[in-house]
Amino acid sequence: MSARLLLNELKKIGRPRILLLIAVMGALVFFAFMRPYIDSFKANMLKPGFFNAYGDWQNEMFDLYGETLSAAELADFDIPGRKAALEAEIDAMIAAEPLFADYGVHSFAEYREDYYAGYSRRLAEADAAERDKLQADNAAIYDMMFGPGEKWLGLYALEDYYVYFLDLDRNGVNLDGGGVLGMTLFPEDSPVYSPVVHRAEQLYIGAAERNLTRYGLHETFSNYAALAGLFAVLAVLLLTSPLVMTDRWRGIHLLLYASAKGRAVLRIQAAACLIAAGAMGLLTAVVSYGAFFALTDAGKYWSAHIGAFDRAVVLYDVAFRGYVLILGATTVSLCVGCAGLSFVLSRFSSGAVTLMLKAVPVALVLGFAAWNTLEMALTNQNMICHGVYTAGRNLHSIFLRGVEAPEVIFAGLLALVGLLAAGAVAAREKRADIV
Amino acid sequence: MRLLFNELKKIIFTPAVAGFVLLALIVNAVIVFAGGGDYPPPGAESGASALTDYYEDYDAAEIIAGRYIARHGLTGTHAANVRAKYERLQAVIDEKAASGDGLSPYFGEATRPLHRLLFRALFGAMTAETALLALFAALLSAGYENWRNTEGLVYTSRTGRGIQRVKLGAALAAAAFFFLLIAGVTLALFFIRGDWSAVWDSNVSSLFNSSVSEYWKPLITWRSFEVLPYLAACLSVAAALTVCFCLLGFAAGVFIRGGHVSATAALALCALMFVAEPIAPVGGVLCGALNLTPVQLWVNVGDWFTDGGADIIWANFESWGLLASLAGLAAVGAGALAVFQRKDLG
Repeated sequence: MSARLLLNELKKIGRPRILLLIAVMGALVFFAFMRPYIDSFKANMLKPGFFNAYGDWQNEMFDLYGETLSAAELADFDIPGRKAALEAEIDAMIAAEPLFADYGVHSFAEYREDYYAGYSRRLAEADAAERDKLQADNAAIYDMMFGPGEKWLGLYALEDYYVYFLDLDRNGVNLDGGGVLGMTLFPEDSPVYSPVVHRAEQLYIGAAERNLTRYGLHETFSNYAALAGLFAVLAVLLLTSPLVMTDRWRGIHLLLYASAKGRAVLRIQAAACLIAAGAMGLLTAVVSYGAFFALTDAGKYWSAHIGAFDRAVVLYDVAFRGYVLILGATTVSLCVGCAGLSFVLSRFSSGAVTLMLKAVPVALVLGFAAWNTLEMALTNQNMICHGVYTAGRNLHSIFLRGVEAPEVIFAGLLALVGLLAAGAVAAREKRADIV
Repeated sequence: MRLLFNELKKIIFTPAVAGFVLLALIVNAVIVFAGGGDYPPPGAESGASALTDYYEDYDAAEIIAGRYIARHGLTGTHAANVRAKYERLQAVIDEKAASGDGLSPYFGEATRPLHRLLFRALFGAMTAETALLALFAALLSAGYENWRNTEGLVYTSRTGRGIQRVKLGAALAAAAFFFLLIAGVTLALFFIRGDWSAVWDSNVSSLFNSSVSEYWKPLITWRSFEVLPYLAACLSVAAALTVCFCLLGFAAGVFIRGGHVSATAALALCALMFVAEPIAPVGGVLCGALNLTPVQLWVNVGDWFTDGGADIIWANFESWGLLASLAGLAAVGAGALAVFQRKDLG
């Protein structure tokens, strides 16, 4: 009988009209906010409005050498040679275009070093008519330089990261006066020290080979997953909040509370909310992540490791598939926590409008929590991680400074709190006086 | 009158409503006292004398429209719409250059964060809170008899059904009360924290101020606004938006019986207004029209009375949007009342 009751409560939660509404809103949210991430990934961008710092070069290296880059492969790719070839190409273009000579630019080196300072000076001194010509010339020069210039900058950024930052060619280049291996961002005596972050940094600097996984893949996908997670949490709130309230509004609870068996129905309703939330979280993750992989070539990074520190420090050098699974599990955990709190809210509401009014601030808080848990997860720039490590430094707490994956722990705690809160309310109702 | 008063009491003394109002005031207080922006010391030199009037020879169509068109890859009529807006704005910019609006001191280097704190962060919060309260007040009012299962008694006669008009009046009165309370207390706290008396006659288009809508650009208002009139104008928009959401909630509550269904429908409509706009092509008429809806007017808080972003193609979009929204929602509300008078509630 409990199984049948559970099934019936799940049917009450999964009303066709509400599910259709959620599906329609989900599709609209996908096209409005999530599709731009897919489109920008396909255009080799980090995310909407942010370019890939390495251009196409890193992708080319991944296709050539696989997921890791060794010192030999770095030498084989010959970044200095490619830079020199590009510089020669740009020099030839500059020599053939008289406009550059008007601004005292005869080579790519002169363009990089002198052009913008000279242009800004001339612009500041110019009258209105001259200013128009200067701006038009600047736009034309920008257009000519954009293609080859961006390629050169991509190589420059690549060299900066793999050679100077990660010291892959093992020259022991010391840029910062701090040690043998390149720059050390998080020394132990620094006020921003965290053992977890420092460990990650040493891992990337000390490893024999480097990840070639696409620039900021963790950032792109975690932003996308945060949108999906936010939607899932709000959908769970919409789905589960009316369940208990409806019974109270109709006066059914007066009948239910007349017997111990009837009061036990509340436990079943709590279970139904939690199960429905888990299913909603899982479905949202599967459908949204599936769309990302189906519409892009992100699948080629499935087994590649995401460890990097060119877009935040990725604290755990997990495979991309592991990262995807962790984000999915975190989403489900957040949804379960939300459902537990929604159940409590529903129990203490006797009308639909007052329930919705109370649900608005709850939705804002849970939505904020979900977003900040998922965005940049497993990196030092995740808001929750950053907050915990900062608190650890300010409170001189070694424990807080060394907590592993605080954002994942937070999601788990939220689920636990939701479960305990729902359980406590259901247990309380066994003895509650309804008069 | 007694009916109106009793209906008003039902809304205002609902515990959830009172709790929401309190929470709103706490959130606004946090924004006021923890929000960014340090006031310059009293008597400090603003630096306005060192400003170059950027508005002189500023080609809005070339600079702003050109950037938007390039960024979004606009072509055809979409690009033409964006360009046309900025060609119209050029006359306004030339006027600003002539009158020296850009050289207004305002708060000097502290202008941008303080202007954004008041006109974007605080107005955004206040408007959202009062709009939601108005929406739920109307839903509560319209659906109260259904909630309390007294429909069968109250709506059996014409007089009983006429109570819906009184309920609308009560919902509007409650919305006005919430607006005055929340805006009044919040702005009182804000102006206690910081003294704005020295800048009331500074121009909001001061070149110390700026708007960032995809790109940095000066804050260009369609007509010249000093700070105090701009504050009054923004308060009017916020108040009118509150009325819009009240009418929206009332229409949903009357058309759709059943508190949860009507509330869900109203919130779904608001969500639809929010997510539909980013899907519509930038620079198109559909995108422009969606920016006139109440939810998008709220999203564009901080850009009221300015040129806005690439997605806004008409001048004074907030005025047109409010006019259209109020007229449309009033018509829908009147229609809902007319239908309700004859509706079979069985």
